[in-house]
Amino acid sequence: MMRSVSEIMLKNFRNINLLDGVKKAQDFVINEGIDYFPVIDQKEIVGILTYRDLIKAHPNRIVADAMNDTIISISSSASIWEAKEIFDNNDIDAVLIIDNEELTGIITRNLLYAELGKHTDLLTGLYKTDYIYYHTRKLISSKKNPAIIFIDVNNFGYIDKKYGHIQGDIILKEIASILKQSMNSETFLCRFGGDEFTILTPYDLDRCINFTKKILSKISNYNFINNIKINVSAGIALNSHEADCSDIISIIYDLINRASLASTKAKKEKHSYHIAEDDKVYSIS
Amino acid sequence: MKNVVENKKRAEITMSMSEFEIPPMQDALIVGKNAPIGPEAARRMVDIVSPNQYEIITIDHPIIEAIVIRKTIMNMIEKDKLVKIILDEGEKVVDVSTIIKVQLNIVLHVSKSVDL
Repeated sequence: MMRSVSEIMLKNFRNINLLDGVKKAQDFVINEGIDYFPVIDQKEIVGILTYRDLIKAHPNRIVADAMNDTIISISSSASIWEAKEIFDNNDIDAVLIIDNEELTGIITRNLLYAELGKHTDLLTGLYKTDYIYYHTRKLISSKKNPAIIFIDVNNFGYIDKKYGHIQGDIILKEIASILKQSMNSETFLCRFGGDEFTILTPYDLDRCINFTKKILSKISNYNFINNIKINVSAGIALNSHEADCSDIISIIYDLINRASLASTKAKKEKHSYHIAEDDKVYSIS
Repeated sequence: MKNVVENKKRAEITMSMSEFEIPPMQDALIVGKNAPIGPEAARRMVDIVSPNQYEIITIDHPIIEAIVIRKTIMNMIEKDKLVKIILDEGEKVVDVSTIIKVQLNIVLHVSKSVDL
């Protein structure tokens, strides 16, 4: 879980001097298949020259007049989601991977998006669980307590059998769309699997309950395909105790597990949501 | 009848001489986005013969990438006003692959009156 940039970064790059000609870099592209060039001036990295820059630039130019001088770097152990945040917030094509002040690789926008495709659910367009794991870790690292809301569609197997799997898929897409529209900058959504969705929030119990109620209300008031009546059950689990940052994976697993059991309990007891019992204690260090 | 073939090769040389201007560019250069010499190359070129005299002003414009301008001119006219004046006229003649040399003659007229 949680792919790091070291697993996808490019190691096939070549440094180029600030005053070298663009033609020299173009020759490297043609002869050696290298598309990305960290630009060096007096042993310092001062920019990055990409294949796109090379297409735009006149071959007579010097590298200084074709490169992008916005240099952003991360370590090779950083998550692909951290890289995504960098690309989302900056108009750049490549991020340098630097470990112990040494350039070890390059991650490109195209490479990252190809990887993110593997973490995207094709039916709903939502991210898969890796996305939630990353943001849970981020919340805990910033001393915020994560809470998980687990949403499960009631009798989805029956709906599939009665109306067919195509209709079932359309309903899942409609639910995903409702959930997506309900998110804000503090909340994170993924498709957990089948007819289950997971939402991560930094909210306390009261805000979690309000947030869940709003979502459940939107779903129950929505006019689904063929007027099929859809109900969902939600389970809420909070990490309200101090957590140990070294064991974040256990915390995430435990939160999701307790929230899923709570949603099952809500379904059994015919409640719209249920709050998980707080049976584990962690400490944020 | 006898064929006569005349075969001559000749070279003509014309020479013109003028003083080398230092710096070789005048007051400003307007650099097109795909010009063969970019603004940094132009600045470095002129920096070798006239160090620290020119500044690059990057422009957000569909055709023009930058203006490389003599710093002393900006002591006389505010930078933004000067750039606007250069762009207003420059964009009519420059295209994406050209570099235009600009000569600016600035005469400051000051008139003051004092009570006698």
